[in-house]
Amino acid sequence: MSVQISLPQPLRRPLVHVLCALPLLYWGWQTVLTAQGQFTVISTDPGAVLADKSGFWAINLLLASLALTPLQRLFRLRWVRYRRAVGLWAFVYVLTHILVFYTLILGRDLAEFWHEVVERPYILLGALAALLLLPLVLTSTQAAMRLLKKRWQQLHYLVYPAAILAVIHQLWQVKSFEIGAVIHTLVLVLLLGLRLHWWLRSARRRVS
Amino acid sequence: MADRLTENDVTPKHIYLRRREFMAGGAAMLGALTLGRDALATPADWMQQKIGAGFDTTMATDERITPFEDASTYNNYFEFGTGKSDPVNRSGDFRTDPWSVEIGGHCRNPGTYALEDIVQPKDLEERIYRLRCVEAWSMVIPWLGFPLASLIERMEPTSDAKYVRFETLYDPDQYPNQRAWFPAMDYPYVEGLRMDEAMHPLTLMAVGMYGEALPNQNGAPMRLVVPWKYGFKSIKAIVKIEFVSEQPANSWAVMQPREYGFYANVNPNVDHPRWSQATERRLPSTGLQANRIPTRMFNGYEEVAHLYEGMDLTRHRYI
Ligand code: HEM
Repeated sequence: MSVQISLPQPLRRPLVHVLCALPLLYWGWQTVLTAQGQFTVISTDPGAVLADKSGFWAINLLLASLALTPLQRLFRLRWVRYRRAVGLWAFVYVLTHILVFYTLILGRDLAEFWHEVVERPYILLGALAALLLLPLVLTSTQAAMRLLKKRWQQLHYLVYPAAILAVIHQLWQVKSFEIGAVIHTLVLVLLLGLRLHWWLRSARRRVS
Repeated sequence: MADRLTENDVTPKHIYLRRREFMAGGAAMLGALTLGRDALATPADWMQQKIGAGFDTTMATDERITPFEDASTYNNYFEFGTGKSDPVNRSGDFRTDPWSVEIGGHCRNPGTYALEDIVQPKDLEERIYRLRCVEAWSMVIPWLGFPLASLIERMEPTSDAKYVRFETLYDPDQYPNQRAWFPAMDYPYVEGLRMDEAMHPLTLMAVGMYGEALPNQNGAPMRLVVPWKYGFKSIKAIVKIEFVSEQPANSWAVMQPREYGFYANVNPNVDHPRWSQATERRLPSTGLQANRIPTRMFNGYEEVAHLYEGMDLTRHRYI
């Protein structure tokens, strides 16, 4: 007997938003407590901890958004409709991540920010990833989709280089063996591999 | 070196009081973290008695001392895990008593010594040192210990002893990361000092901090503290000390030879390949404000500069 867990349709989308927002709410709450002078898990070094957490959730959600189509094809999970929501939430974490780095680590020193971006290759890659994601966010509306037509799909392929850069950005900064970075890499390779496989197959079909 | 001061002059009582508050008030939290903690996991009675008997503060500072709650909850101690709070969360059951240290190599008095026999004969002193992590953060910590030089003299090293090699405990039963599928690094953790560095009066063998025995997460029962070097040189939970004639391997330099070296002297002029060493975040942050301050050569302990005369400390082989 299989247990069917099924959420009423109108609750599904809100649930996706709540799930995506949970880490932000939790760490935001810790940030508020810290700002009020309480001793929390982030008190000692808020910049480093929050940069880690926001980066971690940015990449998690970015990879999750890429996984929705394969999940549909492989397991008939019809979650692709939430892809835009998940992708936008990923960008919320990217923005938070950059903001944390700029304010809490660099102390709002803009010159230092540019210096870091050009000086540290891993940060440059992160910045490039963020830049690639920006046009996707700006064209995420239905109106933009209609306006750009075929171009929209082409533009949104940018998510792949962005994800690749983001994963390299994370890999580059590991200090020792870190399982998180390895898992993200494996997931990315798997997702890209599946796409490539499907793309090659359809290309072959088109030829024959 | 700073003037000799009395304990009351430099270790404000509130530090210790604050600690007790933390221990009591945070008991619920700590209790949850260290569930199943048994009597073995607390410091040895003799250690507590020795520390309780009193000590002088021989090096003071006018800098703000990092609160105990920060220094004991934000640690790099990969044997317990790579997260900064893994050490405090996972070290509750770590057994520091009984503890022995194997001392050998080129010396006249090699042997396996009970920690008691190493520490008991020493006069403990409190020294407030800056601790500069290679990750560009720093703290100010009142250590309790004795000069490494006094231990070395007792072992009577021979003229072949050019370096001292240290080793951390290897015990996968007690260290989660040592039994992990993919350990973060090769264990046991090893470190080393040149003989003159080891003999320098600033080099401390610490058995306590903030007026009490070292917490497990800070390297109990005995750790090295070399204040002019990046923190990773200050090896924790030492079980082996060896006098050797060749420069010994040290764990981080083995793992990432392009990023970490043997000397690892704090140096604002040589960046880590991935981040700047010119400044540091003095922890804890004030609220959310990053306390960014300039990093000083030798972490401000210029009296060690003569040890490196003639060495180009920007050259990779001396980093
Ligand atoms: C201007 C853009 C960016 C800057 C300046 C930046 C900066 C940083 C810094 C300084 C860290 C290290 C934090 C630390 O451990 O001290 C970091 C970590 C990280 N960043 Fe970024 N980043 C940028 C963009 C991105 C983007 C677009 C993503 C992903 C979509 C990302 C994902 C990550 C991840 C996963 C980590 C590792 C977190 C961990 O240790 O678990 N970053 N970033």
